[in-house]
Amino acid sequence: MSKSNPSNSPSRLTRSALGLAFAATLAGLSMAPAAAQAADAVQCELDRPMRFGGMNWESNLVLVEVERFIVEHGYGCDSEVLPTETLPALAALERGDLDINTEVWLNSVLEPWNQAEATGKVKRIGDIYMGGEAWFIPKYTAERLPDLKKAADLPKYWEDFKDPEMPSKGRFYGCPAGWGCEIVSTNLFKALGLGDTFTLFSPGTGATQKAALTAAYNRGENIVFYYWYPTPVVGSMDLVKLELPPYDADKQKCLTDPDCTDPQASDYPENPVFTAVSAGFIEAAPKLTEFLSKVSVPLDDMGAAMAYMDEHEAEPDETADWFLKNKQDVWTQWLPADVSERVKAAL
Amino acid sequence: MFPELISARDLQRPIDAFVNGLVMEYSDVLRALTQPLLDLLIWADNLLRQSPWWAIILVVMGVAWVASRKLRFSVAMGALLGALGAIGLWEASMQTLSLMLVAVAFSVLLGIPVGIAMASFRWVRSAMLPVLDVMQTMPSFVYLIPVVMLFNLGKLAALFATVIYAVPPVIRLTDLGIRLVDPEVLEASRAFGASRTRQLFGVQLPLALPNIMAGINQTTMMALAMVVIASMIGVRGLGYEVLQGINRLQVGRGLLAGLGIVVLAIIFDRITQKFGQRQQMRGA
Repeated sequence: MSKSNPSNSPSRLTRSALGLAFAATLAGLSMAPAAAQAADAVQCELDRPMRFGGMNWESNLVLVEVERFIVEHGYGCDSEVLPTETLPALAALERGDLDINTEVWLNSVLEPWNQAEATGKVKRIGDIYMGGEAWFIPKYTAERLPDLKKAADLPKYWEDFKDPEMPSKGRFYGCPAGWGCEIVSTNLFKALGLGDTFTLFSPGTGATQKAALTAAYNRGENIVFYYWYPTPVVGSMDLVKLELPPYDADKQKCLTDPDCTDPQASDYPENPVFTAVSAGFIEAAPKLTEFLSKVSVPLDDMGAAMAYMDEHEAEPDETADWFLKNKQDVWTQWLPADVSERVKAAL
Repeated sequence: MFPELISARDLQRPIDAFVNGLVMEYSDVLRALTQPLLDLLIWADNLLRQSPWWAIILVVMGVAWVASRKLRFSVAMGALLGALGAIGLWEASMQTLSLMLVAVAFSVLLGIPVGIAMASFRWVRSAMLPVLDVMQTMPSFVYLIPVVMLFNLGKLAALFATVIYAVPPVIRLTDLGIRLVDPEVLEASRAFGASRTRQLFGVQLPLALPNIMAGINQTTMMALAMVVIASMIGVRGLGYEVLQGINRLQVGRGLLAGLGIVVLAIIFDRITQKFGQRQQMRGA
């Protein structure tokens, strides 16, 4: 990959020589046409399409589309999205098969991320927002059970959350199979001593989890579940967080360990969500890297985009379009003036 | 570009609205109606998981012996099942096995009558063929999400998914088997004054049995292929182990659980094949 890219060659002399030749060609080309057209023909820093990791949750899908639009119209780069999941995406980033992983949720992949970062082949740039995780009950459940405030009180109320497959226990909807959050949910479940009165039910995948929760919510069933935000689920439902004991770094460390012997309950920490890029990409595309490291979105604005997406059943690119049109004050801060002018012109 | 005659969204919206309406209005009724089915699944699951492991191996060896009347075959089947326990997959295997047994039983109960109807009435056949095509090719998640919304996550939704995917072979092969019965044999039985029912149960079904057994065999194989999908809607078992392995990039874990599915498939396959072979020998 790097071999085919002239700007990567080692000698400064060759580089500047190439640059000169390049500039001369450009100048020759833009001699005749109007200046405006010259501005349109921004030369991309990459000689191939930029490869985004397309993790399949909504905030990532939308942000990827926002970034692709800017990359295409502001920086003149083609791009493609490769559908993937967090851990395979991390491995692909290390190999250089992906350029960018827009949303890495640190707490969900703490160990693998630390290992990947230690290789020096992936870099963390730009924090997008502080995500979070919690155990939720719908507001109507909270009104029906006014004394249920803490997760530790759940055993008293198991009958209100009866598991149809195990009528002697309540059902707690945990995290999809194999996701990082599954380990924390499982340990927290143990730490709170819920095993005797609740089953820790694993929804299998994010899609079925969402389907089950949405259906239960629309039908006004009592449910208690783990979820993370910003997401359309949390954005569009009226939910109440169950209190967990205050956050404690040591306890949390054990909670994220699958072999934790004596888990102690601790609230979820804030979960930094950041962008990761491959080291090769940073070298090849400094301007794009600078833009991507500035990308950050206030939670409220992200929540608004998620709600728009859910309400209008909008595709990610339509939501991205809505975001670019309505949240100009957010994204113009990421870009130099000339680039944001070009993006605005393309809208 | 193909000209847009009807916007895709106008087609999608009413479907979404219909499904949402269904979920809101009929979920309770449907859940109450299917409660016995869920009880059956839970019962089978508890039965297999709470029975001692040697008892289950003995039962499988017994079934294998009845199918083959060969001691070596039956010991080999028992050893295979034991191997699953030896690599720490006993509990997961039993969860998968219980779902498979119920799903296959339902598929057979449903599939054979439908196959007979298809062989007997031409219009049933022409109506069923496209339905079977849809069942075999429609990506399961397309109908699974509405099923999950109606029935909640878990065994029941997994049973539906498995039966929908696995029932077509037994239907197709029952239909084929009956239509392949020599018309002269049928005519002879008619000449002896056999009623339609007698023709069906005395002549057509016995002669079609090898084909029907092949259908049941294929149905069990396809049911096993669905266990990973079943785990995606919240059923524990071998598929769940595979899913966890994949999502955590633990190749070893995924591979072992995958091999577990293969071993179960081999046991199912060999035993049903042996049944089929013996039927054939008796027929010949």
